[in-house]
Amino acid sequence: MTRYRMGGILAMGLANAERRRRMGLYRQGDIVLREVSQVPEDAHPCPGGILAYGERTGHSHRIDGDGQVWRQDTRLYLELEQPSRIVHEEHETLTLPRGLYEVVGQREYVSPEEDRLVFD
Amino acid sequence: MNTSTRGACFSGVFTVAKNHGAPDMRMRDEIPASRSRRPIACVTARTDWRHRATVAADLFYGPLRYRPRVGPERQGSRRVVWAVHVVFAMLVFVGLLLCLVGLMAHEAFVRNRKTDVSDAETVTAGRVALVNDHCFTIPIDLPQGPTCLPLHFERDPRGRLRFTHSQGAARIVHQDDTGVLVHVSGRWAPFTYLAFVYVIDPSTGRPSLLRVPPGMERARQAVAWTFGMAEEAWTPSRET
Repeated sequence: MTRYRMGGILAMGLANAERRRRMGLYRQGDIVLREVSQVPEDAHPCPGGILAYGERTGHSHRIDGDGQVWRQDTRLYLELEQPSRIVHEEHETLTLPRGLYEVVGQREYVSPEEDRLVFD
Repeated sequence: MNTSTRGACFSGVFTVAKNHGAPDMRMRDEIPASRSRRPIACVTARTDWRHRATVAADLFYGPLRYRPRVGPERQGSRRVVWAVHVVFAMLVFVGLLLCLVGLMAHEAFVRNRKTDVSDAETVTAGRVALVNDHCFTIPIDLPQGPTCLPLHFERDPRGRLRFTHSQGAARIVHQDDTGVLVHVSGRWAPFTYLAFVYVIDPSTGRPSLLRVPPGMERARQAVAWTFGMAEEAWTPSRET
């Protein structure tokens, strides 16, 4: 009984690890692209293919190729029909496989009620 | 048995007390000859308390070979015994006091570390600026007015970060392959601190210091927080 239970727990752990491995996580400087299963229905398309834009430096993380950016409130999603490249003026180019991704910017703590994005 | 001898030991005193009452505490040559020959007359109300004190002292200090009436050299050893007792008691008292103070300080520190309210209410840190390869500055908004806190650091031959000198007290809490978790405290508010994670961009090599919530214990946990993720979920497939 205990052996079967331990086997089940081990299998669950392995399945979670496999799921995490499959849900890819890619970082380019101060943004992270996290693989998701679907884009929210109320998201609307954003033209331009820019994932993050620095007002101070003028640098941006953007798609080099085909891809659709979706926005839901403050959240950004990226839909790639085929493997595409994410480029930036300073960072190395990142190649992503096809799929759906959530774009997460790096943030900084200000107070318990407030964070701010550090992208410049 | 001579009941008027001052050098009586425990058994002698007890025998005297049982047979004749309390002894006369005066020296033999101080006692008139007529009285030294009449020991029963030594039992007086004036010396009764001294006799009881002597018996009590012999009972308590018998194991220490306490001899209260044997001469000046024994008087000196009795003082040493008392001095040792007093010093020991003072040491125990001071030790307990220090433990109490330390416990209170530790409790206050832990209480402030668990809650981030005091930190947020007292100090707000602005964007960290890199002065050069060995110094950061942190703009801090205090109730008295804004100021700037420089943090000087260097890397040892093993590549680990070390703070050299700073206005505030910078303490490295944890460092691993993802970054360095730093606590910075100062005179602006005792028992509070600002938490930062020092990271180096994997593709540009540019260092940066990001403020994270207090209560972070590991650098990986802090880096994961900056991207809104849990520590165990922070497993990037590729970083550029």
